[in-house]
Amino acid sequence: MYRPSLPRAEPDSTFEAATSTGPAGGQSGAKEHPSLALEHAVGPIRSGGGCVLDLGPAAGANVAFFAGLGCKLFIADLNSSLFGAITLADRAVALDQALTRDIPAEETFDLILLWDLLDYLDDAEIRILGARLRPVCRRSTLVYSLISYRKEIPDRPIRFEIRNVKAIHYAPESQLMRPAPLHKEPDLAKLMPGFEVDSTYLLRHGKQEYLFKARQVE
Amino acid sequence: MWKKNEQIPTPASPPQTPPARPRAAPASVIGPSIHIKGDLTGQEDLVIQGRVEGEVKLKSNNVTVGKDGRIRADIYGRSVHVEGEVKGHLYGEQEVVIRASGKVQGDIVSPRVVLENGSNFKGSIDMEPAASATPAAAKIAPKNVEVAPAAAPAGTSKTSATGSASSGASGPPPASPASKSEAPKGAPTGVQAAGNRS
Repeated sequence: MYRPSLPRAEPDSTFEAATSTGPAGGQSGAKEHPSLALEHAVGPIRSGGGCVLDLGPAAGANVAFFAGLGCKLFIADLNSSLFGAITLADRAVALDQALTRDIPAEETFDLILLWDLLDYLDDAEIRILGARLRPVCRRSTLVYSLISYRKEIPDRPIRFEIRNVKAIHYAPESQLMRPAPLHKEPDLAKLMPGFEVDSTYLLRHGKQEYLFKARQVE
Repeated sequence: MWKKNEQIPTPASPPQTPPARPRAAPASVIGPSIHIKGDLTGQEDLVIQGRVEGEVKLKSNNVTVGKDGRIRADIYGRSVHVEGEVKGHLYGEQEVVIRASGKVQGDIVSPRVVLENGSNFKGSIDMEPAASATPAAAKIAPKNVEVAPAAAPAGTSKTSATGSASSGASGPPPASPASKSEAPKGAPTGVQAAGNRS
C-alpha cells in the first residue's frame, strides 16, 4: 500500500514551449504540453464520422475537439468510478463492472483514450481492461495512453484537455504523490494480449505517449 | 414660389424606437418537495427542482434541472440546462448545457453541447442531430461546442403532467429563487398533473 507524499521540488523539465495558461477548471499550475502521438491517433478519423471512447472524465475542450472532427464521443469516466472518495474493497471487480456498464457493447470505436489510466491500475486490472476493450475495437482502432517515466505520479489520475492535435493541457488535481508503476512496453504487451504497441513517443515532461492497436485475430 | 433647389419639407417622422421585445414569461417551477411519476409535456419553460420519473417533453421550450433536481427521465427541450442530477438521455433542439454542479448519466443529442469544468458526465455525445433532435433524425445541424456557460432560459404558455405527483411532507420548500413562485402544496404554477397525487 503506497503512502501519498507531497511532491519534491524538482526542476521543471517541461518543454520550453510549454506555456502556463492559468487555472484550468480551478486547477493551478495547469500547463499546455506538446503531444506527438495525438496527431497520429486522430489521423484516421480526421475525415469525419469516427467513434471515440474516452475513459477519462468529461472535459468540454475534448468534446469540442472531437465535435470539430465530426466524431461521436462516448465518455465512460472511469476515474469517477474507481478513484472517488470511497476506497474500493475490490477495485478489479469495480473496474470490470464499470467497463461492462459504461461501455456500450453494441458499439465499436476508432479511437480509445486511456490517458494516464494505466499508471493507476495493477497488473490484474490492466488485464481486465485489455480484455474488455478488445471486443469494442475495430480493425484499425488505436488506443492512446500516457505513461509516466518519473518515479512519482500524482495521487489520482489527471484530467487532460486536448487543445489541438499537437498540444494537451493538464494539471494534477491532487498535490499528493505516489510511486509510479513505471510500466514497460513488453510488460504491457503481455498484460494486454489483444493489443500491440503501434508506436511510442517520449516526451520531456515526464510522460511517454503510447499508441496501441488492436491485434488482428488470425 | 417654389424653387428647384429648395427642399420639400417632410413631415417630422416620429423617433425610431426599436420594436418592443416580448417580455419573457417566468418559467414554471417544480419545487424541491414535488415528486412526479409520469410524463411532462407542455409549451412553457420549466425549472425542475424536485424529482421527476418519466419523460419530460418540452421540445419548443427551455428545461432547466436545478441544483436540487433529481431526474430519472429522458428530457426533450429547445435548450436543456442541468445543474442537478439526471439519469436519462438529453435531447436539445438548440443546446444542452451541463453546469459544473451537474451530474448526467445518459446520452446527449444536440447540435451544441456545453460541459462546464467540474461537471460529471457519462454517456455519449452526438452533435449531429436533426432539427427535431431525435435519435433517429437525419444529420444536418452544424456543430458547435462551448465551454462557456449559456444564459438562463424563459418562455411562455402551459405545461401538463400525466402520471402521479406527490408533494413532500417535509413542509414548505426552502426559499430559493426557483421555488418562490411555485405551489409547494400541489402542482407547480402552470403545471397540470393528471393522475394520482399522494
